[in-house]
Amino acid sequence: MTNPGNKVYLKRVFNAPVEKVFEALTNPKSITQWFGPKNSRTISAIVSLEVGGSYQFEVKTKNETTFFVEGKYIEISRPYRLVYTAEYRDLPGSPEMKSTITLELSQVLEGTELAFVQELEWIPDDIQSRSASWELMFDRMRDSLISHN
Amino acid sequence: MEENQKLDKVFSALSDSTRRSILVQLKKAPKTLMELADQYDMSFQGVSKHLKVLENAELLNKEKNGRQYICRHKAEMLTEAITWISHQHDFWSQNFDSLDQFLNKNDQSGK
Repeated sequence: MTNPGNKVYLKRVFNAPVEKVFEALTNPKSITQWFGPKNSRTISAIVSLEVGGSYQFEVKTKNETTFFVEGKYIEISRPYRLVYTAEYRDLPGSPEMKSTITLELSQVLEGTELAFVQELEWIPDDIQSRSASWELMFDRMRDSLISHN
Repeated sequence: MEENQKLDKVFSALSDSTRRSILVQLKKAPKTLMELADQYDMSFQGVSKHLKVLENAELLNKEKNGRQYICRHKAEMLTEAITWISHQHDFWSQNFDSLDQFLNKNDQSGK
Protein backbone atom coordinates (compact mmCIF):
# COMPACT_ATOMS: atom_id res chain seq x y z
CA MET A 1 0.00 0.00 0.00
CA THR A 2 2.11 2.86 -1.18
CA ASN A 3 -0.67 5.41 -1.20
CA PRO A 4 -3.55 4.15 0.88
CA GLY A 5 -5.09 7.62 1.17
CA ASN A 6 -8.27 7.66 -0.81
CA LYS A 7 -8.58 3.95 -1.38
CA VAL A 8 -10.48 1.15 0.23
CA TYR A 9 -8.84 -2.26 -0.02
CA LEU A 10 -10.38 -5.65 0.51
CA LYS A 11 -9.14 -9.11 -0.26
CA ARG A 12 -11.21 -12.27 -0.05
CA VAL A 13 -10.93 -15.86 -1.08
CA PHE A 14 -14.03 -17.60 -2.39
CA ASN A 15 -14.48 -21.31 -2.60
CA ALA A 16 -15.39 -21.32 -6.31
CA PRO A 17 -13.64 -21.22 -9.71
CA VAL A 18 -12.64 -17.84 -11.15
CA GLU A 19 -15.19 -17.94 -13.97
CA LYS A 20 -17.98 -18.61 -11.51
CA VAL A 21 -17.01 -15.69 -9.28
CA PHE A 22 -16.79 -13.39 -12.28
CA GLU A 23 -20.23 -14.55 -13.39
CA ALA A 24 -21.65 -13.88 -9.91
CA LEU A 25 -20.19 -10.36 -10.02
CA THR A 26 -21.63 -9.48 -13.42
CA ASN A 27 -24.74 -11.52 -14.09
CA PRO A 28 -27.84 -9.53 -13.02
CA LYS A 29 -29.68 -12.68 -11.97
CA SER A 30 -26.85 -13.57 -9.61
CA ILE A 31 -26.35 -10.01 -8.41
CA THR A 32 -29.92 -9.74 -7.12
CA GLN A 33 -29.23 -12.80 -5.01
CA TRP A 34 -26.22 -11.52 -3.13
CA PHE A 35 -25.60 -7.81 -3.61
CA GLY A 36 -26.36 -5.37 -0.80
CA PRO A 37 -25.19 -4.76 2.73
CA LYS A 38 -26.65 -6.50 5.77
CA ASN A 39 -30.43 -6.50 6.13
CA SER A 40 -31.00 -5.25 2.62
CA ARG A 41 -31.86 -6.90 -0.67
CA THR A 42 -31.32 -6.01 -4.28
CA ILE A 43 -34.66 -5.79 -6.03
CA SER A 44 -33.37 -5.14 -9.52
CA ALA A 45 -30.09 -5.21 -11.41
CA ILE A 46 -29.57 -3.92 -14.93
CA VAL A 47 -26.19 -4.70 -16.45
CA SER A 48 -24.80 -3.86 -19.84
CA LEU A 49 -21.50 -5.69 -19.62
CA GLU A 50 -19.38 -3.94 -22.21
CA VAL A 51 -16.77 -1.23 -22.06
CA GLY A 52 -18.71 2.04 -21.67
CA GLY A 53 -21.84 0.07 -20.74
CA SER A 54 -23.79 1.01 -17.59
CA TYR A 55 -25.15 -0.89 -14.67
CA GLN A 56 -27.67 -0.04 -12.00
CA PHE A 57 -28.58 -1.96 -8.87
CA GLU A 58 -31.64 -1.02 -6.87
CA VAL A 59 -31.33 -1.93 -3.21
CA LYS A 60 -34.06 -1.97 -0.57
CA THR A 61 -32.94 -1.52 3.02
CA LYS A 62 -34.61 -2.99 6.10
CA ASN A 63 -36.44 0.32 6.57
CA GLU A 64 -37.96 -0.18 3.12
CA THR A 65 -36.11 2.79 1.69
CA THR A 66 -34.54 2.33 -1.70
CA PHE A 67 -31.14 3.39 -2.95
CA PHE A 68 -29.22 2.88 -6.16
CA VAL A 69 -25.66 1.88 -6.93
CA GLU A 70 -24.78 2.73 -10.50
CA GLY A 71 -21.90 3.34 -12.86
CA LYS A 72 -20.15 2.38 -16.05
CA TYR A 73 -17.76 -0.38 -17.01
CA ILE A 74 -14.33 0.90 -17.91
CA GLU A 75 -12.37 -2.29 -18.44
CA ILE A 76 -13.46 -5.89 -18.79
CA SER A 77 -11.02 -8.79 -19.05
CA ARG A 78 -13.14 -11.79 -18.36
CA PRO A 79 -12.70 -13.49 -15.95
CA TYR A 80 -9.69 -11.81 -14.33
CA ARG A 81 -10.24 -8.10 -14.20
CA LEU A 82 -13.13 -5.67 -14.01
CA VAL A 83 -12.91 -1.89 -13.64
CA TYR A 84 -16.01 0.25 -13.20
CA THR A 85 -17.22 3.48 -11.69
CA ALA A 86 -19.62 3.47 -8.77
CA GLU A 87 -21.94 6.11 -7.39
CA TYR A 88 -24.68 5.96 -4.82
CA ARG A 89 -28.01 7.62 -5.26
CA ASP A 90 -30.53 8.17 -2.44
CA LEU A 91 -28.35 6.35 0.06
CA PRO A 92 -28.97 7.89 3.48
CA GLY A 93 -25.81 9.37 4.94
CA SER A 94 -24.01 9.24 1.64
CA PRO A 95 -22.60 12.30 -0.04
CA GLU A 96 -22.55 12.59 -3.79
CA MET A 97 -19.26 11.03 -4.53
CA LYS A 98 -17.76 9.14 -7.40
CA SER A 99 -15.45 6.23 -7.09
CA THR A 100 -13.67 3.75 -9.32
CA ILE A 101 -13.64 0.10 -8.38
CA THR A 102 -11.06 -2.38 -9.63
CA LEU A 103 -11.66 -6.08 -9.12
CA GLU A 104 -8.88 -8.56 -9.78
CA LEU A 105 -9.55 -12.26 -9.64
CA SER A 106 -6.92 -14.93 -9.53
CA GLN A 107 -6.88 -18.65 -9.06
CA VAL A 108 -5.48 -19.82 -5.75
CA LEU A 109 -5.35 -23.21 -4.05
CA GLU A 110 -8.59 -22.62 -2.14
CA GLY A 111 -10.50 -21.25 -5.12
CA THR A 112 -10.54 -17.63 -6.25
CA GLU A 113 -8.88 -14.68 -4.66
CA LEU A 114 -10.67 -11.39 -5.18
CA ALA A 115 -8.71 -8.17 -4.71
CA PHE A 116 -10.98 -5.16 -4.38
CA VAL A 117 -9.77 -1.58 -4.62
CA GLN A 118 -12.15 1.37 -4.47
CA GLU A 119 -10.64 4.71 -5.27
CA LEU A 120 -12.65 7.63 -3.99
CA GLU A 121 -12.46 10.82 -5.91
CA TRP A 122 -12.10 13.43 -3.30
CA ILE A 123 -9.92 12.73 -0.29
CA PRO A 124 -6.66 14.61 -0.77
CA ASP A 125 -3.54 12.59 -0.13
CA ASP A 126 -1.80 15.29 1.84
CA ILE A 127 -4.57 15.66 4.36
CA GLN A 128 -5.42 12.19 5.47
CA SER A 129 -1.83 11.15 5.97
CA ARG A 130 -1.83 13.65 8.82
CA SER A 131 -5.09 12.54 10.26
CA ALA A 132 -5.17 10.45 13.38
CA SER A 133 -8.63 9.14 12.63
CA TRP A 134 -7.38 7.93 9.30
CA GLU A 135 -4.77 5.86 11.07
CA LEU A 136 -7.47 4.47 13.30
CA MET A 137 -9.56 3.55 10.32
CA PHE A 138 -6.74 1.61 8.78
CA ASP A 139 -6.19 -0.27 11.99
CA ARG A 140 -9.81 -1.20 11.87
CA MET A 141 -9.54 -2.20 8.24
CA ARG A 142 -6.54 -4.36 8.97
CA ASP A 143 -8.39 -6.09 11.78
CA SER A 144 -11.32 -6.77 9.58
CA LEU A 145 -9.11 -8.06 6.78
CA ILE A 146 -7.43 -10.45 9.17
CA SER A 147 -10.70 -11.70 10.56
CA HIS A 148 -12.07 -12.28 7.08
CA ASN A 149 -9.13 -14.10 5.60
CA MET B 1 -28.52 21.48 7.91
CA GLU B 2 -29.03 17.86 7.07
CA GLU B 3 -26.01 15.59 7.49
CA ASN B 4 -26.00 14.59 3.82
CA GLN B 5 -25.90 18.16 2.61
CA LYS B 6 -23.15 18.95 5.05
CA LEU B 7 -21.02 16.13 3.71
CA ASP B 8 -21.76 17.13 0.11
CA LYS B 9 -20.33 20.52 0.93
CA VAL B 10 -17.23 19.00 2.46
CA PHE B 11 -16.60 16.83 -0.56
CA SER B 12 -17.19 19.59 -2.99
CA ALA B 13 -14.89 21.90 -1.00
CA LEU B 14 -12.19 19.23 -1.05
CA SER B 15 -12.46 18.66 -4.78
CA ASP B 16 -10.25 21.68 -5.51
CA SER B 17 -6.48 21.38 -5.15
CA THR B 18 -5.98 24.99 -4.00
CA ARG B 19 -8.51 24.54 -1.23
CA ARG B 20 -6.90 21.28 -0.14
CA SER B 21 -3.56 23.00 -0.07
CA ILE B 22 -5.00 25.85 2.00
CA LEU B 23 -6.28 23.33 4.52
CA VAL B 24 -2.89 21.69 4.73
CA GLN B 25 -1.32 25.10 5.36
CA LEU B 26 -3.83 25.87 8.07
CA LYS B 27 -3.28 22.52 9.73
CA LYS B 28 0.30 23.54 10.32
CA ALA B 29 -0.62 26.93 11.78
CA PRO B 30 -3.42 29.52 11.65
CA LYS B 31 -2.84 32.20 9.04
CA THR B 32 -4.21 35.60 8.14
CA LEU B 33 -5.95 36.19 4.84
CA MET B 34 -2.98 38.28 3.74
CA GLU B 35 -0.48 35.53 4.46
CA LEU B 36 -2.54 33.07 2.45
CA ALA B 37 -2.99 35.43 -0.47
CA ASP B 38 0.79 35.96 -0.64
CA GLN B 39 1.45 32.27 -0.65
CA TYR B 40 -0.85 31.42 -3.50
CA ASP B 41 0.11 34.11 -5.94
CA MET B 42 -3.55 34.87 -6.17
CA SER B 43 -5.66 37.94 -5.75
CA PHE B 44 -7.05 38.68 -2.33
CA GLN B 45 -10.53 38.09 -3.76
CA GLY B 46 -9.47 34.75 -5.24
CA VAL B 47 -8.24 33.43 -1.92
CA SER B 48 -11.21 34.93 -0.20
CA LYS B 49 -13.56 32.95 -2.46
CA HIS B 50 -11.81 29.70 -1.65
CA LEU B 51 -11.92 30.49 2.05
CA LYS B 52 -15.64 31.16 1.82
CA VAL B 53 -16.20 27.68 0.33
CA LEU B 54 -14.12 26.09 3.09
CA GLU B 55 -15.93 28.11 5.70
CA ASN B 56 -19.32 27.06 4.36
CA ALA B 57 -18.25 23.45 4.52
CA GLU B 58 -17.25 24.05 8.14
CA LEU B 59 -13.68 23.13 7.38
CA LEU B 60 -12.31 26.37 8.73
CA ASN B 61 -13.04 29.17 11.15
CA LYS B 62 -12.47 32.81 10.38
CA GLU B 63 -12.10 35.12 13.32
CA LYS B 64 -11.45 38.81 13.44
CA ASN B 65 -8.34 39.92 15.21
CA GLY B 66 -8.03 43.70 15.11
CA ARG B 67 -8.12 44.62 11.44
CA GLN B 68 -7.12 41.14 10.30
CA TYR B 69 -8.97 37.90 9.79
CA ILE B 70 -7.27 34.80 11.10
CA CYS B 71 -8.15 31.47 9.55
CA ARG B 72 -8.02 28.27 11.53
CA HIS B 73 -8.46 24.71 10.37
CA LYS B 74 -11.45 22.89 11.84
CA ALA B 75 -11.14 19.14 12.00
CA GLU B 76 -14.65 18.00 12.81
CA MET B 77 -16.19 17.78 9.35
CA LEU B 78 -13.11 16.23 7.85
CA THR B 79 -13.34 13.48 10.41
CA GLU B 80 -16.91 12.90 9.33
CA ALA B 81 -15.80 12.55 5.75
CA ILE B 82 -13.20 10.01 6.77
CA THR B 83 -15.76 8.09 8.76
CA TRP B 84 -17.74 7.79 5.59
CA ILE B 85 -14.84 6.02 3.94
CA SER B 86 -14.82 3.45 6.67
CA HIS B 87 -18.51 2.91 5.96
CA GLN B 88 -17.52 2.11 2.41
CA HIS B 89 -15.26 -0.59 3.71
CA ASP B 90 -18.06 -2.12 5.77
CA PHE B 91 -20.48 -1.84 2.87
CA TRP B 92 -18.31 -3.91 0.55
CA SER B 93 -17.18 -6.26 3.24
CA GLN B 94 -20.80 -7.18 3.91
CA ASN B 95 -21.41 -7.52 0.19
CA PHE B 96 -18.64 -10.04 -0.11
CA ASP B 97 -19.96 -11.96 2.88
CA SER B 98 -23.19 -12.48 0.98
CA LEU B 99 -21.33 -13.25 -2.24
CA ASP B 100 -19.49 -15.95 -0.35
CA GLN B 101 -22.76 -17.40 0.92
CA PHE B 102 -24.25 -17.19 -2.55
CA LEU B 103 -21.34 -19.06 -4.12
CA ASN B 104 -21.44 -21.76 -1.46
CA LYS B 105 -25.19 -22.18 -1.76
CA ASN B 106 -24.88 -22.54 -5.53
CA ASP B 107 -22.26 -25.17 -5.03
CA GLN B 108 -24.44 -27.30 -2.79
CA SER B 109 -27.38 -27.16 -5.14
CA GLY B 110 -25.17 -29.39 -7.25
CA LYS B 111 -24.45 -27.34 -10.32
